[in-house]
Amino acid sequence: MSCSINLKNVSYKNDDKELFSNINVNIGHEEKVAIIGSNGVGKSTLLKIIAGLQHEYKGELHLFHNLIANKKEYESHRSDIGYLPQDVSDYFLCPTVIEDVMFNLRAKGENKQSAFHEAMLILESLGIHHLKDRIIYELSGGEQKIVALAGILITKPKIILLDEPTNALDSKAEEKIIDILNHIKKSMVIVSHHQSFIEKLAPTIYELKKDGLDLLK
Amino acid sequence: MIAFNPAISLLLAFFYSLVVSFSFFEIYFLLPIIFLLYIKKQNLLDIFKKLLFLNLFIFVLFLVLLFQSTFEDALNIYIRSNVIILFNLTLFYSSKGYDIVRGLSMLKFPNMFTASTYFTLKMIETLTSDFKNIKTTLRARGFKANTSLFAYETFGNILGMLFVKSIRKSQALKESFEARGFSGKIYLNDEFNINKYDYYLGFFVILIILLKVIL
Repeated sequence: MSCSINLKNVSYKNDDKELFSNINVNIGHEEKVAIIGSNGVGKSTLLKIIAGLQHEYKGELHLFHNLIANKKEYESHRSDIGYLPQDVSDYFLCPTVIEDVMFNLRAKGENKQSAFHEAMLILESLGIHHLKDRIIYELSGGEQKIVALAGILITKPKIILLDEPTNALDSKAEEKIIDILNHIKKSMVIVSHHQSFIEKLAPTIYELKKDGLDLLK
Repeated sequence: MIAFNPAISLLLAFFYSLVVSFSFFEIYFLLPIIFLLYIKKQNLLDIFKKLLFLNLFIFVLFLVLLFQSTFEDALNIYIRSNVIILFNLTLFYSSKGYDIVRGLSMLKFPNMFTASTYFTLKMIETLTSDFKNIKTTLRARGFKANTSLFAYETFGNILGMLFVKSIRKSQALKESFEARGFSGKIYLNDEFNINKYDYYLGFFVILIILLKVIL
Protein backbone atom coordinates (compact mmCIF):
# COMPACT_ATOMS: atom_id res chain seq x y z
CA MET A 1 0.00 0.00 0.00
CA SER A 2 1.45 3.40 -0.96
CA CYS A 3 1.84 5.79 1.92
CA SER A 4 -0.03 9.10 2.13
CA ILE A 5 1.11 10.29 5.55
CA ASN A 6 4.21 9.29 7.43
CA LEU A 7 5.14 10.68 10.85
CA LYS A 8 8.60 9.91 12.21
CA ASN A 9 9.51 10.64 15.85
CA VAL A 10 7.17 13.59 16.02
CA SER A 11 7.01 15.39 19.34
CA TYR A 12 5.37 18.63 20.41
CA LYS A 13 6.02 20.97 23.30
CA ASN A 14 3.53 23.53 24.54
CA ASP A 15 5.12 26.22 26.77
CA ASP A 16 8.09 23.96 27.64
CA LYS A 17 5.71 21.16 28.63
CA GLU A 18 5.93 18.11 26.40
CA LEU A 19 2.45 17.23 25.16
CA PHE A 20 3.43 14.10 23.25
CA SER A 21 6.56 12.51 21.82
CA ASN A 22 7.75 9.56 19.76
CA ILE A 23 4.83 9.59 17.33
CA ASN A 24 5.48 7.13 14.50
CA VAL A 25 2.73 6.22 12.09
CA ASN A 26 2.16 5.38 8.44
CA ILE A 27 -1.22 6.03 6.88
CA GLY A 28 -1.77 4.38 3.53
CA HIS A 29 -3.69 5.35 0.42
CA GLU A 30 -7.46 5.31 1.11
CA GLU A 31 -6.81 4.05 4.64
CA LYS A 32 -9.11 5.28 7.42
CA VAL A 33 -7.39 5.79 10.73
CA ALA A 34 -8.86 6.99 14.00
CA ILE A 35 -6.97 8.56 16.86
CA ILE A 36 -8.51 8.54 20.31
CA GLY A 37 -7.11 9.73 23.61
CA SER A 38 -8.03 11.47 26.82
CA ASN A 39 -8.81 15.20 26.94
CA GLY A 40 -5.82 17.50 26.56
CA VAL A 41 -3.46 14.79 25.32
CA GLY A 42 -2.93 16.65 22.02
CA LYS A 43 -5.16 14.88 19.47
CA SER A 44 -6.20 18.13 17.78
CA THR A 45 -2.61 19.40 17.84
CA LEU A 46 -1.41 16.23 16.12
CA LEU A 47 -4.09 16.68 13.46
CA LYS A 48 -3.06 20.31 12.99
CA ILE A 49 0.55 19.19 12.47
CA ILE A 50 -0.63 16.89 9.65
CA ALA A 51 -2.88 19.69 8.33
CA GLY A 52 0.09 22.07 8.15
CA LEU A 53 -1.41 24.48 10.65
CA GLN A 54 1.08 23.77 13.44
CA HIS A 55 4.73 23.98 12.51
CA GLU A 56 6.38 24.15 15.95
CA TYR A 57 7.06 20.42 16.28
CA LYS A 58 10.08 18.16 16.23
CA GLY A 59 10.42 15.13 13.99
CA GLU A 60 9.52 14.45 10.39
CA LEU A 61 6.27 14.76 8.49
CA HIS A 62 6.16 13.09 5.06
CA LEU A 63 3.25 13.59 2.67
CA PHE A 64 3.19 11.26 -0.34
CA HIS A 65 6.83 10.31 0.40
CA ASN A 66 8.00 13.94 0.40
CA LEU A 67 9.58 15.33 3.55
CA ILE A 68 7.80 18.52 4.65
CA ALA A 69 10.50 20.60 6.30
CA ASN A 70 8.75 23.95 6.49
CA LYS A 71 5.56 25.90 5.85
CA LYS A 72 6.56 26.75 2.29
CA GLU A 73 7.03 23.09 1.35
CA TYR A 74 3.63 22.29 2.81
CA GLU A 75 1.89 24.78 0.53
CA SER A 76 2.54 22.62 -2.56
CA HIS A 77 0.44 19.88 -0.91
CA ARG A 78 -2.22 22.19 0.54
CA SER A 79 -4.87 21.33 -2.05
CA ASP A 80 -4.35 17.59 -1.38
CA ILE A 81 -5.43 17.99 2.24
CA GLY A 82 -8.95 18.70 3.51
CA TYR A 83 -9.13 19.69 7.16
CA LEU A 84 -12.33 19.91 9.20
CA PRO A 85 -11.79 21.73 12.52
CA GLN A 86 -13.54 20.80 15.74
CA ASP A 87 -15.66 23.95 15.74
CA VAL A 88 -16.90 24.25 12.17
CA SER A 89 -18.24 27.76 12.71
CA ASP A 90 -14.61 28.87 12.31
CA TYR A 91 -14.32 27.03 9.00
CA PHE A 92 -16.81 29.08 6.97
CA LEU A 93 -15.60 32.05 4.95
CA CYS A 94 -18.80 33.04 3.09
CA PRO A 95 -22.36 33.84 4.20
CA THR A 96 -24.44 31.26 2.30
CA VAL A 97 -24.01 27.51 1.85
CA ILE A 98 -23.48 27.59 -1.92
CA GLU A 99 -21.01 30.50 -1.74
CA ASP A 100 -18.96 28.77 0.91
CA VAL A 101 -18.85 25.43 -0.91
CA MET A 102 -17.80 27.25 -4.09
CA PHE A 103 -15.12 29.25 -2.24
CA ASN A 104 -12.14 26.90 -2.67
CA LEU A 105 -12.71 26.50 -6.41
CA ARG A 106 -13.13 30.21 -6.98
CA ALA A 107 -10.04 30.95 -4.87
CA LYS A 108 -8.16 28.67 -7.29
CA GLY A 109 -9.41 30.79 -10.19
CA GLU A 110 -12.26 28.62 -11.46
CA ASN A 111 -15.10 30.59 -13.04
CA LYS A 112 -18.42 31.16 -11.26
CA GLN A 113 -20.56 28.92 -13.48
CA SER A 114 -18.39 25.80 -13.30
CA ALA A 115 -17.76 26.31 -9.55
CA PHE A 116 -21.53 26.60 -9.05
CA HIS A 117 -22.14 23.45 -11.09
CA GLU A 118 -19.58 21.43 -9.12
CA ALA A 119 -20.87 22.77 -5.81
CA MET A 120 -24.41 21.74 -6.71
CA LEU A 121 -23.21 18.23 -7.60
CA ILE A 122 -21.50 17.90 -4.21
CA LEU A 123 -24.52 19.28 -2.34
CA GLU A 124 -26.82 16.87 -4.19
CA SER A 125 -24.56 13.89 -3.47
CA LEU A 126 -24.63 14.80 0.24
CA GLY A 127 -28.40 15.38 0.14
CA ILE A 128 -28.27 19.02 1.23
CA HIS A 129 -28.92 20.84 -2.07
CA HIS A 130 -32.14 22.29 -0.57
CA LEU A 131 -29.95 24.29 1.85
CA LYS A 132 -27.95 26.01 -0.89
CA ASP A 133 -29.22 29.56 -0.34
CA ARG A 134 -29.44 29.38 3.45
CA ILE A 135 -27.25 31.52 5.71
CA ILE A 136 -24.77 29.05 7.22
CA TYR A 137 -25.05 30.35 10.79
CA GLU A 138 -28.78 29.63 10.80
CA LEU A 139 -28.22 25.92 10.14
CA SER A 140 -28.12 23.23 12.82
CA GLY A 141 -24.78 21.85 14.02
CA GLY A 142 -25.21 18.67 11.96
CA GLU A 143 -26.08 20.57 8.79
CA GLN A 144 -23.08 22.87 9.32
CA LYS A 145 -20.76 19.84 9.58
CA ILE A 146 -22.11 18.42 6.30
CA VAL A 147 -21.73 21.82 4.58
CA ALA A 148 -18.14 22.02 5.82
CA LEU A 149 -17.56 18.50 4.52
CA ALA A 150 -18.94 19.58 1.13
CA GLY A 151 -16.44 22.48 1.17
CA ILE A 152 -13.67 19.94 1.69
CA LEU A 153 -14.86 17.36 -0.84
CA ILE A 154 -15.24 19.88 -3.67
CA THR A 155 -11.46 20.29 -3.81
CA LYS A 156 -11.06 16.51 -4.31
CA PRO A 157 -8.38 16.16 -1.61
CA LYS A 158 -6.31 12.99 -1.30
CA ILE A 159 -6.33 13.15 2.48
CA ILE A 160 -9.19 14.18 4.78
CA LEU A 161 -8.50 15.19 8.37
CA LEU A 162 -11.49 15.35 10.70
CA ASP A 163 -11.35 16.76 14.21
CA GLU A 164 -14.27 15.46 16.29
CA PRO A 165 -16.69 15.34 13.32
CA THR A 166 -19.64 14.20 15.44
CA ASN A 167 -19.01 16.49 18.38
CA ALA A 168 -22.33 17.74 19.84
CA LEU A 169 -24.47 16.01 17.20
CA ASP A 170 -27.57 13.94 17.83
CA SER A 171 -27.66 10.27 16.81
CA LYS A 172 -29.53 10.97 13.55
CA ALA A 173 -26.98 13.55 12.39
CA GLU A 174 -24.18 11.23 13.52
CA GLU A 175 -25.58 8.35 11.44
CA LYS A 176 -25.74 10.64 8.41
CA ILE A 177 -22.11 11.72 8.86
CA ILE A 178 -21.03 8.07 9.26
CA ASP A 179 -22.91 7.16 6.08
CA ILE A 180 -21.28 9.99 4.14
CA LEU A 181 -17.78 9.25 5.44
CA ASN A 182 -18.13 5.51 4.76
CA HIS A 183 -18.77 6.28 1.10
CA ILE A 184 -15.66 8.44 0.73
CA LYS A 185 -12.69 6.50 -0.62
CA LYS A 186 -9.81 8.65 0.56
CA SER A 187 -7.10 8.54 3.20
CA MET A 188 -8.73 9.75 6.35
CA VAL A 189 -7.55 10.60 9.85
CA ILE A 190 -10.33 11.05 12.38
CA VAL A 191 -9.79 12.39 15.84
CA SER A 192 -12.57 11.64 18.27
CA HIS A 193 -13.28 10.38 21.74
CA HIS A 194 -16.56 8.92 20.53
CA GLN A 195 -15.72 5.18 20.54
CA SER A 196 -18.93 3.85 18.94
CA PHE A 197 -18.68 6.34 16.07
CA ILE A 198 -15.06 5.45 15.37
CA GLU A 199 -15.71 1.70 15.37
CA LYS A 200 -18.30 2.13 12.62
CA LEU A 201 -15.86 4.05 10.48
CA ALA A 202 -12.19 3.27 10.96
CA PRO A 203 -10.64 -0.19 10.73
CA THR A 204 -7.47 1.09 12.39
CA ILE A 205 -7.59 2.80 15.77
CA TYR A 206 -4.69 4.35 17.67
CA GLU A 207 -4.64 5.75 21.15
CA LEU A 208 -2.56 8.88 21.60
CA LYS A 209 -0.52 8.84 24.79
CA LYS A 210 2.20 11.12 26.08
CA ASP A 211 4.93 8.78 24.87
CA GLY A 212 3.47 7.74 21.52
CA LEU A 213 0.66 6.09 19.62
CA ASP A 214 -0.64 2.69 20.74
CA LEU A 215 -2.33 0.53 18.11
CA LEU A 216 -5.66 -0.58 19.58
CA LYS A 217 -7.22 -2.24 16.56
CA MET B 1 -40.59 39.65 1.35
CA ILE B 2 -39.56 42.47 -1.00
CA ALA B 3 -35.78 42.70 -1.16
CA PHE B 4 -33.99 45.81 -2.30
CA ASN B 5 -30.72 45.60 -4.20
CA PRO B 6 -28.05 45.77 -1.44
CA ALA B 7 -25.83 48.15 -3.41
CA ILE B 8 -28.73 50.52 -4.19
CA SER B 9 -29.84 50.34 -0.55
CA LEU B 10 -26.36 51.28 0.67
CA LEU B 11 -26.09 54.21 -1.73
CA LEU B 12 -29.59 55.51 -0.98
CA ALA B 13 -29.09 55.13 2.78
CA PHE B 14 -25.84 57.07 2.52
CA PHE B 15 -27.23 59.96 0.44
CA TYR B 16 -30.53 60.19 2.33
CA SER B 17 -28.73 60.23 5.71
CA LEU B 18 -26.27 62.82 4.39
CA VAL B 19 -28.94 65.20 3.10
CA VAL B 20 -31.18 64.90 6.16
CA SER B 21 -28.35 65.28 8.65
CA PHE B 22 -27.05 68.49 7.04
CA SER B 23 -30.36 70.29 6.51
CA PHE B 24 -33.33 71.54 8.48
CA PHE B 25 -36.21 69.11 8.73
CA GLU B 26 -38.75 69.29 5.92
CA ILE B 27 -42.00 67.34 5.74
CA TYR B 28 -41.08 65.80 2.36
CA PHE B 29 -38.19 63.95 4.06
CA LEU B 30 -40.91 61.53 5.11
CA LEU B 31 -41.81 60.52 1.54
CA PRO B 32 -39.34 57.59 1.19
CA ILE B 33 -40.08 56.52 4.77
CA ILE B 34 -43.82 56.31 4.07
CA PHE B 35 -43.04 54.28 0.97
CA LEU B 36 -40.74 51.93 2.92
CA LEU B 37 -43.21 51.56 5.80
CA TYR B 38 -45.94 50.70 3.30
CA ILE B 39 -43.72 47.98 1.80
CA LYS B 40 -42.75 46.60 5.20
CA LYS B 41 -46.24 47.02 6.68
CA GLN B 42 -46.17 43.50 8.14
CA ASN B 43 -43.22 44.43 10.34
CA LEU B 44 -44.38 47.89 11.42
CA LEU B 45 -44.74 46.98 15.08
CA ASP B 46 -41.25 45.48 15.33
CA ILE B 47 -39.70 48.43 13.47
CA PHE B 48 -41.32 50.97 15.81
CA LYS B 49 -40.39 48.91 18.87
CA LYS B 50 -36.74 49.09 17.79
CA LEU B 51 -37.07 52.81 17.12
CA LEU B 52 -38.56 53.33 20.57
CA PHE B 53 -35.69 51.43 22.15
CA LEU B 54 -33.15 53.55 20.26
CA ASN B 55 -35.03 56.66 21.37
CA LEU B 56 -33.88 56.01 24.92
CA PHE B 57 -30.44 57.10 23.74
CA ILE B 58 -31.61 59.82 21.31
CA PHE B 59 -33.81 61.39 23.99
CA VAL B 60 -30.80 61.75 26.31
CA LEU B 61 -29.01 63.54 23.46
CA PHE B 62 -32.07 65.79 23.06
CA LEU B 63 -31.96 66.68 26.76
CA VAL B 64 -28.24 67.50 26.56
CA LEU B 65 -28.86 69.64 23.46
CA LEU B 66 -31.60 71.55 25.30
CA PHE B 67 -28.95 72.92 27.65
CA GLN B 68 -26.53 73.77 24.88
CA SER B 69 -28.82 75.37 22.27
CA THR B 70 -32.41 76.45 21.68
CA PHE B 71 -35.45 74.20 21.98
CA GLU B 72 -36.07 74.45 18.20
CA ASP B 73 -32.55 73.28 17.38
CA ALA B 74 -32.71 70.41 19.85
CA LEU B 75 -36.13 69.34 18.56
CA ASN B 76 -34.97 69.58 14.96
CA ILE B 77 -31.94 67.39 15.62
CA TYR B 78 -34.11 64.96 17.58
CA ILE B 79 -36.59 64.62 14.71
CA ARG B 80 -33.89 64.33 12.04
CA SER B 81 -32.07 61.62 14.05
CA ASN B 82 -35.32 59.70 14.27
CA VAL B 83 -36.03 60.15 10.57
CA ILE B 84 -32.57 58.86 9.59
CA ILE B 85 -32.79 55.92 11.97
CA LEU B 86 -36.33 55.05 10.88
CA PHE B 87 -35.31 55.17 7.21
CA ASN B 88 -32.32 52.87 7.77
CA LEU B 89 -34.18 50.57 10.16
CA THR B 90 -37.00 50.05 7.67
CA LEU B 91 -34.73 49.74 4.65
CA PHE B 92 -32.47 47.14 6.27
CA TYR B 93 -35.13 45.51 8.45
CA SER B 94 -35.24 42.20 6.58
CA SER B 95 -31.51 42.32 5.85
CA LYS B 96 -29.38 39.53 7.31
CA GLY B 97 -26.54 41.91 8.07
CA TYR B 98 -24.44 40.46 5.28
CA ASP B 99 -26.39 42.55 2.76
CA ILE B 100 -23.99 45.35 3.62
CA VAL B 101 -21.12 43.10 2.50
CA ARG B 102 -23.02 42.23 -0.68
CA GLY B 103 -23.61 45.92 -1.30
CA LEU B 104 -19.92 46.73 -0.83
CA SER B 105 -18.97 43.88 -3.14
CA MET B 106 -21.41 45.05 -5.84
CA LEU B 107 -20.15 48.62 -5.54
CA LYS B 108 -16.64 47.27 -6.25
CA PHE B 109 -15.12 48.30 -2.92
CA PRO B 110 -11.59 46.86 -2.47
CA ASN B 111 -11.65 43.10 -1.77
CA MET B 112 -9.75 43.49 1.49
CA PHE B 113 -12.25 46.08 2.75
CA THR B 114 -15.25 43.90 1.81
CA ALA B 115 -13.70 40.79 3.41
CA SER B 116 -12.75 42.73 6.57
CA THR B 117 -16.31 44.05 6.87
CA TYR B 118 -17.68 40.53 6.48
CA PHE B 119 -15.39 39.03 9.11
CA THR B 120 -16.06 41.95 11.47
CA LEU B 121 -19.82 41.31 11.17
CA LYS B 122 -19.22 37.59 11.63
CA MET B 123 -17.17 38.27 14.77
CA ILE B 124 -19.84 40.61 16.16
CA GLU B 125 -22.46 37.90 15.59
CA THR B 126 -20.31 35.25 17.28
CA LEU B 127 -19.52 37.45 20.27
CA THR B 128 -23.18 38.48 20.62
CA SER B 129 -24.19 34.83 20.65
CA ASP B 130 -21.44 34.04 23.20
CA PHE B 131 -22.58 36.95 25.35
CA LYS B 132 -26.17 35.67 25.27
CA ASN B 133 -24.98 32.21 26.28
CA ILE B 134 -22.98 33.65 29.17
CA LYS B 135 -26.02 35.66 30.31
CA THR B 136 -28.18 32.51 30.24
CA THR B 137 -25.52 30.63 32.21
CA LEU B 138 -25.35 33.40 34.80
CA ARG B 139 -29.12 33.29 35.20
CA ALA B 140 -29.09 29.51 35.44
CA ARG B 141 -26.42 29.69 38.15
CA GLY B 142 -28.42 32.14 40.24
CA PHE B 143 -26.42 35.31 39.54
CA LYS B 144 -28.24 38.57 40.21
CA ALA B 145 -26.90 41.81 38.77
CA ASN B 146 -26.55 44.42 41.55
CA THR B 147 -24.00 46.95 42.74
CA SER B 148 -21.92 44.56 44.87
CA LEU B 149 -18.19 44.05 44.36
CA PHE B 150 -18.89 40.44 43.41
CA ALA B 151 -21.23 41.54 40.57
CA TYR B 152 -18.59 43.93 39.20
CA GLU B 153 -15.94 41.20 39.43
CA THR B 154 -18.27 38.88 37.51
CA PHE B 155 -18.81 41.49 34.77
CA GLY B 156 -15.03 41.91 34.59
CA ASN B 157 -14.62 38.15 34.21
CA ILE B 158 -17.25 38.06 31.44
CA LEU B 159 -15.44 40.80 29.53
CA GLY B 160 -12.16 38.93 29.99
CA MET B 161 -13.74 35.71 28.76
CA LEU B 162 -15.16 37.43 25.69
CA PHE B 163 -11.76 38.97 24.99
CA VAL B 164 -9.98 35.60 25.25
CA LYS B 165 -12.70 33.95 23.13
CA SER B 166 -12.35 36.58 20.43
CA ILE B 167 -8.58 35.98 20.30
CA ARG B 168 -9.11 32.21 20.06
CA LYS B 169 -11.77 32.68 17.38
CA SER B 170 -9.50 34.90 15.33
CA GLN B 171 -6.71 32.31 15.69
CA ALA B 172 -9.10 29.59 14.46
CA LEU B 173 -10.20 31.83 11.58
CA LYS B 174 -6.55 32.37 10.61
CA GLU B 175 -6.13 28.59 10.49
CA SER B 176 -9.18 28.34 8.21
CA PHE B 177 -7.66 31.01 5.95
CA GLU B 178 -4.52 28.87 5.65
CA ALA B 179 -6.35 25.57 5.23
CA ARG B 180 -8.71 26.94 2.56
CA GLY B 181 -6.29 29.10 0.59
CA PHE B 182 -7.86 32.47 1.45
CA SER B 183 -6.04 35.33 -0.25
CA GLY B 184 -7.99 38.38 0.90
CA LYS B 185 -11.11 37.92 -1.19
CA ILE B 186 -14.49 36.41 -0.42
CA TYR B 187 -16.57 35.28 -3.38
CA LEU B 188 -20.27 36.19 -3.47
CA ASN B 189 -22.75 35.05 -6.08
CA ASP B 190 -24.83 38.21 -6.40
CA GLU B 191 -25.88 39.69 -9.71
CA PHE B 192 -26.58 43.41 -9.96
CA ASN B 193 -30.35 43.23 -10.44
CA ILE B 194 -32.54 46.28 -9.91
CA ASN B 195 -36.27 45.81 -9.37
CA LYS B 196 -39.12 48.33 -9.54
CA TYR B 197 -39.00 48.98 -5.79
CA ASP B 198 -35.37 50.08 -6.08
CA TYR B 199 -36.45 52.55 -8.77
CA TYR B 200 -39.35 53.89 -6.65
CA LEU B 201 -37.14 54.36 -3.59
CA GLY B 202 -34.39 55.88 -5.72
CA PHE B 203 -36.92 58.30 -7.18
CA PHE B 204 -38.02 59.52 -3.73
CA VAL B 205 -34.47 59.96 -2.46
CA ILE B 206 -33.33 61.75 -5.62
CA LEU B 207 -36.41 63.98 -5.38
CA ILE B 208 -35.39 64.98 -1.85
CA ILE B 209 -31.83 65.68 -2.97
CA LEU B 210 -33.11 67.83 -5.85
CA LEU B 211 -35.55 69.74 -3.66
CA LYS B 212 -33.10 70.32 -0.85
CA VAL B 213 -29.70 70.64 -2.45
CA ILE B 214 -30.22 71.84 -6.00
CA LEU B 215 -33.39 73.92 -5.91
